[in-house]
Amino acid sequence: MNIETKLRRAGFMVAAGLLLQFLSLLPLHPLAFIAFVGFGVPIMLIGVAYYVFSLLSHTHPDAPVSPATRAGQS
Amino acid sequence: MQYAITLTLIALSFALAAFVGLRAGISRTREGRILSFVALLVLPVVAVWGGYTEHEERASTTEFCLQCHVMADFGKTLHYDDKSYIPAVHFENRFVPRDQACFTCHADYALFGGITSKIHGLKNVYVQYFGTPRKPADIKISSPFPNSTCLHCHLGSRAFETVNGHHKTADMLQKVKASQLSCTSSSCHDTIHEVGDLKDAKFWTEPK
Amino acid sequence: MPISITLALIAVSLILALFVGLREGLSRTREGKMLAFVALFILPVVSVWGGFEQHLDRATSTQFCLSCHVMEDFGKSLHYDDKSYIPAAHFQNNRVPREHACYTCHTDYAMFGGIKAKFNGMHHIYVQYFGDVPKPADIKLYKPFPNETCLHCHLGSRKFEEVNGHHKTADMLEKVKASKLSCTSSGCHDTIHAVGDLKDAKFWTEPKETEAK
Repeated sequence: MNIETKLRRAGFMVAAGLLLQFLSLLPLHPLAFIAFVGFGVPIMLIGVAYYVFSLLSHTHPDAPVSPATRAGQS
Repeated sequence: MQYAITLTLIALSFALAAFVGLRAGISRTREGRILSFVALLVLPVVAVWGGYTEHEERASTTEFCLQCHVMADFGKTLHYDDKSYIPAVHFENRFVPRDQACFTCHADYALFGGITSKIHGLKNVYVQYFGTPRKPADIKISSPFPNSTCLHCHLGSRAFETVNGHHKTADMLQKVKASQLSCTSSSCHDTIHEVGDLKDAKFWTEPK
Repeated sequence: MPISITLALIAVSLILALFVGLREGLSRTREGKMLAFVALFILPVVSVWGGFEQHLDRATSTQFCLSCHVMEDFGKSLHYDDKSYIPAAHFQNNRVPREHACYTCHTDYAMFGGIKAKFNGMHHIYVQYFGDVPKPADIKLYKPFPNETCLHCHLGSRKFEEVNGHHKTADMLEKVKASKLSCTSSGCHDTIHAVGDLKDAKFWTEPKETEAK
């Protein structure tokens, strides 16, 4: 799986967690708190961790991309 | 915690802004443009907000207020060994938080009350360093002490609402609440800092 | 963080995370990579911190605590028309902020005290929805009420330090400060919520025109 796909997955997970967090801040109720710490935060953190690990496991494939390809691409 | 996060955020925001500033051709890709937006608008706003909160909180401490020499006497008046001095009785009994003693009564608590007070404070800082600070006994409050500051804590409190002294006339309490009768300058609760009394006064200190 | 800034920040993070998720070829440029870093790491961390702070703050509100039916009687006990009930005397005289009345006395104020209390709270929510809810009169504190909670406000206060009742023996105050003599369960200040008294009680209500916001 390339970094591109991993980034996209992480993006969706972080977005889903953030959406839950946003919604959990609208009502004042103990269950809203549970929605925040029980679902919003973990989903978002999994996304963040997924992103961090995808960076760590993918040091090399990016290397050739840097200066040369960028010049051609932009 | 909040302090550490704020500092980290300011550092990150700085690093990204520097990257955007130094990077040639940043606006050629959409990613570059969005990154500039985040680095030059979103993060700085959050960082400034965090920094401002931190400073505002520091400015509300007793230690901050007493850093100007001219305020030292007012600090001493909090220790009068005499219940009739309103600030002393509030301080000694911890009716106000001791580490935010000045700010608790000297802010008007309205919308941006803290900020209006701070602009006034800027003038005080100017006088301290570029003007002639007055003698402590000549320092007067810039507008009459507002009832709203007292009411912020006392309004609705059972003792405040029911005590006989607040019902000397039928509409007394109503007038106080509507700021038509001053708490501190209608000769009811008018013994305040009285820095002139300091030289002959006895002081209370908290047991070690 | 005020709620408006927190919500705006979460919304911006959300949009950026979606952008990273939907954008083709993002990792090909350095800008793209940095954007991904900001969108998937920095902004989410800052938003979660803001959101958590907001939730912690809300969880300290009286309204939050009283949203479980079983707590209502404890809320009512704040209105006893009788000074001898400690919570009522504190509430009616604004010695605790009315909108944070429960939390002010029911946390241990130690480092992360608020969070430890919240773990117990999680258990309460579980019981509320999936367990057997006890009767109000059967609800007891987990641990004896800690002196530190009282001392958080009263320690060093002139009245507290000097009042005769606190000097009945020479070392009384010292013992209280060292938590060797309990404020609430040594027969001194032991009239607390006493929800069993509610049915025969008289209540004090604040005169209308001053109703706290």
